[in-house]
Amino acid sequence: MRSAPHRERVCSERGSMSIFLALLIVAFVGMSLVLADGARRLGNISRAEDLASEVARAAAATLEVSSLATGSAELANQDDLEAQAEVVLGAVSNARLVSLDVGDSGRFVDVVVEVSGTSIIPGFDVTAQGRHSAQVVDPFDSFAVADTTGLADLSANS
Amino acid sequence: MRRNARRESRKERGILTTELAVIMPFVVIFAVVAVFLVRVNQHSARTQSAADAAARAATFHELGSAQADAAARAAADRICQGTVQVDPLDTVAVPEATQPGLVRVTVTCTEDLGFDIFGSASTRTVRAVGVSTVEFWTAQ
Repeated sequence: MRSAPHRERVCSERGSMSIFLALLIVAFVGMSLVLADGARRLGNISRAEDLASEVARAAAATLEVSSLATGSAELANQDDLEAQAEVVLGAVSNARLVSLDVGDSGRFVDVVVEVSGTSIIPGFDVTAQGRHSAQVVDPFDSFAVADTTGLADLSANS
Repeated sequence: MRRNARRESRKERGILTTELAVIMPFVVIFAVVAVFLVRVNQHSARTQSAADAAARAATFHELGSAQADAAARAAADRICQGTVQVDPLDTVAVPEATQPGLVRVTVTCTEDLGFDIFGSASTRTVRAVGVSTVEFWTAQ
């Protein structure tokens, strides 16, 4: 004859697999959401880097008109550089300029851009920043420009 | 006592196999979903790369010319692994003597992700925008 405690022990294990499966599924779903948000953040980092490179190139190509008369290329003032950066970022959505700095020598432009997004997991941040530098290229030295008369006239009339 | 213990262990034989048989379909489904999500992410990244490459390729030609359109399409075609559609190039800013210009390209890339569920092909279409600067000396 079976003892009562033994019968109770057998009955108490019923349903344990269902609980285990429920916990496992919750863990799988949670892990998937974390992976998805992580991938989106990595994508935003890559996008921010690409945009920073385009903004840096655009800023490095924004020259001061009056400097052309001296036969060299100097960067425009900070406001003009930032306005040029905003033109580039305005063409794409969910990106903004964080900082734009000109190097001490005035030959490099350093740009930081931020790309934002909404995350699936509350409290998780997928916003990312990218940084890039570009060198100012002097068109008089670096390129065989066929006719610089137009440039000289422009600087004279400015 | 010993007979009861032996009876207990005989009843529990095969439980692990049963548990594994119950869990395995969920593990397989999870793996399939993970692979699908990775392919989706790769497709999105490729489309963005195609848009960026198309914009950059367009800047090496006269803005608004047929060569610029053709160069943008060829650049996007090389990266997208399916059907690509490039919208007409949008000149956001025209390059001036001391200011760069800006070209914006919209690329639509349709790819087959390779998950044929219930007989229908799993194609996905993504749209991306690429921008590229046109230095004024290259525009001359």
